[in-house]
Amino acid sequence: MAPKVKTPAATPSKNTPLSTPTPGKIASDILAEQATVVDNDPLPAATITPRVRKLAYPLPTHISPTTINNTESLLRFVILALICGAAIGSRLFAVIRFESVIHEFDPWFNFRASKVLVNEGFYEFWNWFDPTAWYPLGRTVGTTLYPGLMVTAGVIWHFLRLINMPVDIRNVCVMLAPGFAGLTAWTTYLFTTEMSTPSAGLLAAAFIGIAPGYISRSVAGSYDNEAIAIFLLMGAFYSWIKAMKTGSALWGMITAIFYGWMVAAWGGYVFITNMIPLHAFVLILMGRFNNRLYTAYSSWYVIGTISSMQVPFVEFLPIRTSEHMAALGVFGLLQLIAFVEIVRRLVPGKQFQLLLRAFVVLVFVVSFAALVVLTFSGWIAPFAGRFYSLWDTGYAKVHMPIIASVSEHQPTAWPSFFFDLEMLIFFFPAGVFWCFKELRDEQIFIIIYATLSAYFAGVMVRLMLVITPVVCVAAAIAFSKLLEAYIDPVIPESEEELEEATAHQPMSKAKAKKIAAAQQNKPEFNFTGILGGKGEKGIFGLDTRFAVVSVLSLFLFLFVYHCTWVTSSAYSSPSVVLASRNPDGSQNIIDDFREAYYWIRQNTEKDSVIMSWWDYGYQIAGMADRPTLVDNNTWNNTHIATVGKAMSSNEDIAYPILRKHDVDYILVIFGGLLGYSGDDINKFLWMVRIAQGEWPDEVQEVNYFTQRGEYAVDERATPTMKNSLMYKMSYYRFHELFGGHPAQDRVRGQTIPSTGIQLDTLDEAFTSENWIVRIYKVKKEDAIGRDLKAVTSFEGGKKLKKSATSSNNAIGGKKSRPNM
Amino acid sequence: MWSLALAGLLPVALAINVPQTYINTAIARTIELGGLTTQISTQYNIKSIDNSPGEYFLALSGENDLPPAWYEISLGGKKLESRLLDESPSTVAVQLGKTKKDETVTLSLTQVLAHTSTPLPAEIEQRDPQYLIWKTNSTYVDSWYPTEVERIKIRAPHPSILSYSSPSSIPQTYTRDSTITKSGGTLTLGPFHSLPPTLSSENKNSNQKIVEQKPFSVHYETKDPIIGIRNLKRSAEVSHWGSNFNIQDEIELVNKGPKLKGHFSRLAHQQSKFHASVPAQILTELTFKLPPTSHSPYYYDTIGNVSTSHFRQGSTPSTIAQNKRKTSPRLVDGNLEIKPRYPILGGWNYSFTIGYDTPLQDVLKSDSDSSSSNNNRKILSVPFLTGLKDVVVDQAELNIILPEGASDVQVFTPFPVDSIEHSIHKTYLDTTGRYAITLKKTQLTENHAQNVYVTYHYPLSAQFQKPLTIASLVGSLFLLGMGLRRVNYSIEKI
Repeated sequence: MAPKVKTPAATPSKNTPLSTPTPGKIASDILAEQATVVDNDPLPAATITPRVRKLAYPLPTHISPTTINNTESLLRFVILALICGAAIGSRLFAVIRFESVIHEFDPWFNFRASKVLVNEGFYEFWNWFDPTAWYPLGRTVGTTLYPGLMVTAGVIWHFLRLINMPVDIRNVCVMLAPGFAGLTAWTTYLFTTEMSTPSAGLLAAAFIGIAPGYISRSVAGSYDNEAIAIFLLMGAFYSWIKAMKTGSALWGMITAIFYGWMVAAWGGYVFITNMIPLHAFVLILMGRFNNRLYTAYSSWYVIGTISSMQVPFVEFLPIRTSEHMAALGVFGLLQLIAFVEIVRRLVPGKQFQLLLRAFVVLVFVVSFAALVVLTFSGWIAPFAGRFYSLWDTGYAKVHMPIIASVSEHQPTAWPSFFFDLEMLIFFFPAGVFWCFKELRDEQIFIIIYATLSAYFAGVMVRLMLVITPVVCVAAAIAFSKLLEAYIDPVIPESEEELEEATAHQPMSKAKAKKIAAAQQNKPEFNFTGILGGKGEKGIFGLDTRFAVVSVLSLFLFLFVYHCTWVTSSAYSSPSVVLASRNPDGSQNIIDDFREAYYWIRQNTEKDSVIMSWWDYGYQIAGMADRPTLVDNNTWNNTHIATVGKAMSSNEDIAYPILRKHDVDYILVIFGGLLGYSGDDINKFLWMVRIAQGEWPDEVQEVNYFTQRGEYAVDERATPTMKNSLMYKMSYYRFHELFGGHPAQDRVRGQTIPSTGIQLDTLDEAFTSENWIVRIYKVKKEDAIGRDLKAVTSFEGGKKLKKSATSSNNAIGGKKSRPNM
Repeated sequence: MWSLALAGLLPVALAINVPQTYINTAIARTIELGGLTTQISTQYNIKSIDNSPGEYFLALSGENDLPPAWYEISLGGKKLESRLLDESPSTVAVQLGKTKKDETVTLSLTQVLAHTSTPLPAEIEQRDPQYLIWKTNSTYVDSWYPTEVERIKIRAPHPSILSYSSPSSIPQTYTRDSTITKSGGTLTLGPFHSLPPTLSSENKNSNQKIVEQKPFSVHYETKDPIIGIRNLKRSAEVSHWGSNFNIQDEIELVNKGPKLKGHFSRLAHQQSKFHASVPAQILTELTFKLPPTSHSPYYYDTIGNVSTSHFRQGSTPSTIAQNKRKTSPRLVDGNLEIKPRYPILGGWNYSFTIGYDTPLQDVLKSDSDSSSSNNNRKILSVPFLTGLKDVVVDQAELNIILPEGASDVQVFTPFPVDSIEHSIHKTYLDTTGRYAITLKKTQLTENHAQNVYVTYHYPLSAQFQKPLTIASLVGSLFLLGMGLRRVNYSIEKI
């Protein structure tokens, strides 16, 4: 529990140097500002203070600038280190509360792949064909996954082994996300520093370090692609800004390396693929083309594209799909413009105009025609379905029910913006506004990024992740502008004084400009109305400063508090292990999933095929180590629909399906006893829908609703519902647990009928402690060729005492112990 | 068949030559039936019939039986060293000291047999009681010498004995009244009078009279789950810097009771739990006795931590004095009570890992009284396993990892082991690696929970090896960084 308590305490402390006016820091701020003034002005710094300025509070005067500079850089380093520590620390709730365990669903697959990578070597991993997934089809894993995450973890693991630190691969995987979150804070600092000041950078680093929007995908144990992707995203953006500013091919190459890594790690790389070209394109449109942009973009595009094509899953996509065409187009455009620039230098004006127009039009027409032809001839694939679902939120539900069935693909609800970003979401537009005010090349990047990601975040909950960095950066810029303005001790001179000064000083204009620049808060900002009544700009008096700064500090404290609370309560549950509270307040761990998975792993045949809904495929493969029919990869819709059909049909229809697919065990999740709402009965309608998509004649969603359109599992449930395999498996012998009292399903709050459920083709094989996981064994065909239904009734009739079917018990037949 | 078996063993059998210099005046044997193990304690009253009779040859098992997993011989309450002969049937030669003619000594032999009971029926339903059948080939106590009177008691753990071999199967030649008497859970065989030896040292052609062994079996009920450990891997790691001694056991547990017929019903299990009548064959909890000063135990398996465990710290007089608790100052073992993830029914497997730490000073002693050059000699005691009642470990491996820089290692085992290997183990930031010793043994029981002693030389310089290495490495990294900062990488000419 210690780090949990520590986190909120540590987080404000890193803000303290920024938010509370400590004299040393303020002095350095002032000096830093002066230094920037000097940068913009040819006059030496010494000349600007011949006259004593009015200060709101005294500053120490005898400290040399070198000391201040050194202190500042040391402070910056220490603060950044603390921010990294806080970013890592705040992600450890799950490890401290539970254990070092892989979370949720997809991470289990990534973990399994990482184990293959480190145990069997890189080439085995690269060529990995997994016969246990998608039984009996198998899955060529090596070419259908983004290997970046596993390779990153593998490299770290190998490095640790090299220095004789034999850390378990599981711990590497669990701690990867927090570790990279620390790095993200660092890259965000660098990125924001490029946009604004280092103090804004520190704020941005602090924000991204603890913003729940990012934590939600990067807590310890959440070993998913996003864990490293945000670091790579910020790394790529930072180095792109750097490359674009310096025109250095080296930085372009670094951008390409980050990009290549990103492509290897996350499908969201398309965001970078379009973001950078868009930025370049906007700069061109604004007439800001220069050779630095040309060098940066060309080196990034060429190296980046080649490196992205090394990933087997991507291969030729960068030149064959529409998503990547923008990058190629801008690359071509840049070449054109560069060419035109050269030509313009050599060819005289008038002919040039004509030549230019003809050339540009020609090239545009030719290339667009080529694009269209290639698209229609199939060389360039049109946009993928997932892409369309970004523009039309209803698209997925109609065309891709599997994608729509995932909760994180739903459109974002309003409160979740506040939940994930708290006050940052309000400071975000202000930050973007500041970018508009300055509108340097790199700030245009922020504007584009903000616009795009704001849209995407609204479309899909999952993409909240993409907006979080830019929100942090923009909010930090706004925040630091405000703080700088109000911590700055310089009191502006009233107009009379200024005029006096003008009269006294010959170089008054430069002076006035300088003062205005020194009060950077609102240099060219003219309020109208009451605020603009007087001509003076700036902040007078200590009280205003104190009020604003203390309110801002309060915001920061609240933000830390909110982030800690959200992280601890919403985002730190491994979902493999559930926790509840005992009446005395102590923690009670509900470990049914692992209980059942471990039972499968230890007590079934190694090649038993397990059928379950696809959500649990990765977990079964990872923890139970058994073949599964479908898993979270969801690449084969028909296969999933087959499972959906088996689950939603009655035993007579389901049994042949089960036998055809060699199913040995069926696993269902049932939360009715404990009130665990994420169970299969609640997901059942999606199974029905997906099955209906393939077999509209055999499975119909309507049949699972009551006459009044209710989804009921009690007496009102339709016969189709009651006879479905899923219903039967979920409630098999459930009512007996209540010993004659009404059997209450705690998730749906309905009473389960106490007429017994009879299973002819299945045997209950295992049920976990809280009944969350129920495993059934599929019976083999009867040895003497009878119908399995007949067998059950035969046995039920003949050996009434021994039979454990619920129907007999319901009648009231006292169950006798079989005697030996 | 007897002769055939003997003929097969002829070259071996010929090697043993037992001079008939002793006679057993009385043998009393008690057989405690259990789950996987069977405890046999036998009292021999031995009379020498010679003035210098030499060694007494004590048969540990019959001609067709497996040797015992563990045995101990004591003479008048004192443990006796014995020499195991490399023969079949397994026999030890015991020095009875100087005995004169007609002098009687009492020798007691304690044996633990493994896997002599098997479940019958082999498959039962979840709520059925479990029965075991115990079989032996030697009804009479195996002996190389004639016996005047002999009595065997077989005690079952529970009074319900379903059946046992009929008295008629044992010839009435040596008995005066009843051959077998049953009272409660105890069967008494004999007493048998004037039994000839059951084993013969001569070849079959000799005319020495031997008594023919008869098989015997008992079918009885047990009320405890029958637990076997298929594989036990213990690693013991010494840290001088942390002053810590860590023990970690990887255990492959299996319920060796009758296999589950049909399937497991959670409902039935919960009902029987509710009525506090969980069937005997279901293992729901397991308790490991840890050393009194052990602390920070852990329990996990392949897929993570298992939260259902409970640890009760032990105490020693010194810890009680420290904590100022007002309890009686005595040694109390730590108890690690673990609950497997799922109830383990007949035939089910469960593999897991447990571990704990002990303060190093409790297991490590420095050899101070030797000469100055040798005063860094350390003596480490490592428990071979944590004993569990009535549990047989089929394969055990003990891996002792000494600190880096330990040299001159010697190993002393309390019982013979199958193999001892020496190797180098590299772990956390090691440079030269740690000295590791691997001991392997099959068929261990609770009685094998004894200490292995390892002595090694550990100079002070070895203690500083790691900090110095790391410090110099980090220092050189900083130096490298300093150097690199001062290099100009620009390709442009300045």
